Formats: sequence, C-alpha cells, structure tokens
Amino acid sequence: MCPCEGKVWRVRLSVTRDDYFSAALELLGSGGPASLKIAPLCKSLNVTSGSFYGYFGSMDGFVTEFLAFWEQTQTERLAELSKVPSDLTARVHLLKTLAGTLPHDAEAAIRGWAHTNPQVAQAQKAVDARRVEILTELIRPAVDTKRHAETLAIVGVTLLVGLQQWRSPVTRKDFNRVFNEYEQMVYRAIDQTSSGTLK
Amino acid sequence: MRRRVGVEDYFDAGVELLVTQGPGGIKVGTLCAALGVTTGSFYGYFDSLDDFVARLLNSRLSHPNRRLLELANSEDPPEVLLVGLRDFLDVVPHEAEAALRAWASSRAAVAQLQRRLDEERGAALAAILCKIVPSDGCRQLADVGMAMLIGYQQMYGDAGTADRDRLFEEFVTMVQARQM
Repeated sequence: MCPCEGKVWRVRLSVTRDDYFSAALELLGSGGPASLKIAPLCKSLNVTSGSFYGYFGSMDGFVTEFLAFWEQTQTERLAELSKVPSDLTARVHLLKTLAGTLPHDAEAAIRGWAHTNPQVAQAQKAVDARRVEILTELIRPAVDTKRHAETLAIVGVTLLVGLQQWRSPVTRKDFNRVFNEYEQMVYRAIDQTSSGTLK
Repeated sequence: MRRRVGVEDYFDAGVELLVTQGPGGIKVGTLCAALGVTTGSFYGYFDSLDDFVARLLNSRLSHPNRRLLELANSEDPPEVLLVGLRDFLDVVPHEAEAALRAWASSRAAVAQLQRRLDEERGAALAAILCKIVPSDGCRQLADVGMAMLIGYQQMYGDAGTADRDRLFEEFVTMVQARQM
C-alpha cells in the first residue's frame, strides 16, 4: 500500500472548514498576515480555489469565520478543558500547559494584522478580554476579592501577549521560564488566602 | 518667524508620526511637511530614511534604557532600585514603543534595531534584578519583566497609568518572593 496515494485521496475528499482554518494559522505563523491569501491557502491543502469559494464565498467571508474559529478553539475550548480537574491547583497547572500549546507565532501575526484590519482588531480585543475573564473566573474562588483575581488574570494574559511579541518563535523553554514564575505567583496568592480564610 | 529645525525636531516629529499615523507615516515627505521644511533640509541631516530611522531609534528610543543602565551601575539598596524601576516605567514612551514593534514586523532594519533595544533592556533589567535577588532567579525574573512590559504596551499602552501600577505591584511580589 502506498501511504502517499492514500493521503492525497483523503485530503481531496475530506478537506473541511477546519482544515482551512488550521492551514491559515500555519500560514500566518510562517509568513505573517501578508501570506494569508486564497492561492497559498488552497495550495497548502492541495485543493482548487473552487473549493475555497464553495465554503466561504469570499476572502472577507473566510476571515470572519477564521476569527470565530480562533476565538472558539484557542479561548473557549481552553476554558472548558481547564474546568475538568476538580482541584484549583491542577486547573491552573493545566491551563498553563494548554496556553503553552497555543499557536504563538500565528497569534503574534494576528496582533500585527490587527493594526491594519479593524475586524481583526475587534476579534483580537475580544480574545484578550475573554482570556482575562476566563482566568479571573478560574482564580476568583481562591482569593479574597474579584479585583485581586482580575489583577492576577491580567498579569497572565499580559505575559502571554508580551512573550508572543518579544520571542519569535516562542520556544517551550522561553514559555516555561516566564510561566513557571507566574504559576508560582498564583499559587502563593491562593495559599495566602486559603490559610487565612478557608481553614 | 520660523525657528531653525534641528535633528531633535526631526526625532520629535518621527515619534509623533509613529504614534499618530503608524509606521506608514514615517516618510521623508510627511516628516518635512510636519516640520514645514523642504526635503533638502532633511537630507542635510540624514543620508536616507533608513539612516533617519536608525538614529531615531538609537537616540530617542534607547534613551530610557540609559536610565536602567544607571540603576544597574548604582550602589543603591534593593528598595531604592525597585523605586527606580517604577520610575523607569513613567519615562518609557509606551505608545511609541508599541508602534515601533508593529513597524518592526514589516521593516527588517527596524526589526534589527528592535532586537538590539530589547537585548539592551533585558540585560540592564537582569543586572538590576541580580542585585536584588539570588543569581538563580534574577534572569528568569528579567524575562518576566520584559514580557510583562511588552505585553502591557500592546494591550494597555494607551490606557493611562492605573493598570501600570497594578501590574508593577504584582511584579514586585514576584521579586520579593525570590528575595526570601
């Protein structure tokens, strides 16, 4: 059996919307916003532009759906997954691990793209704000005030954004150096509160 | 009566254009229009737009880094160094630095200077923190400080000082945890 033959067959038959979105993240990460065009997108998926138009109608249509996909998979999905462990320390640790797997290069490119595209800028702001909210909700039960939870959340999101802008690519080592420190800070905040009020 | 336009006026205009119009605003024509001079005046001071950009970045945007280097070379005790770091945040032109970073993504010469400025700042920050906390943690904290500052500039650079204090306080708690 020839695996390459099977692969071509599979790709041609079953290219999905999600395949387009993943390909777009790859393109953004490797070539920046300027590389996100219909031709390279179709080329990377080995499909004709007819397939693209069949799904999305236009580039604008694609961008709208792509941004929604990004918000969903890289924000809401993480929030859901992080609720799985029952204990807060495990939740924080899991969320850190998940954040490490974000498509950092593509996200840095999206932030650059936001400077010239208002629609992207809006999605960017929504994702930033939603991430702060998710982290605030996660930490809130373990600290005294909502404000403190929110401050810790803002620090986390700020560190992520800064790291993505600063390092290209963001290596696992870069990520861990910064986020191990952050994780310890969150644990200290939780400990101080629980020893003072919960026990 | 128009006063004579000097190099510093060009730098002021450059930072202003970067912040108000974005990287696309930095052109010889736009700069000269903003200053009310002819392009001949520009070429009296600078060889080219790239020459202007390099000198703008070196002089104006690396200026705050000199404050950090002074702190790094001082004999001040940790509490004073931390106050110095907080004051440094008020000297940094956050909006201009965020605009510069956006510009770096589309212009190689700017990207190169940006990297150099980042390295300079990261090294100075590490030198300061190494005087406050033990050496196994100070470089890591410097990375945290850099990421925090850059992230702050991207997200809140135009939002005033409230969040700046809040974030800096949290940074200080991380430093203090390492001091013990």
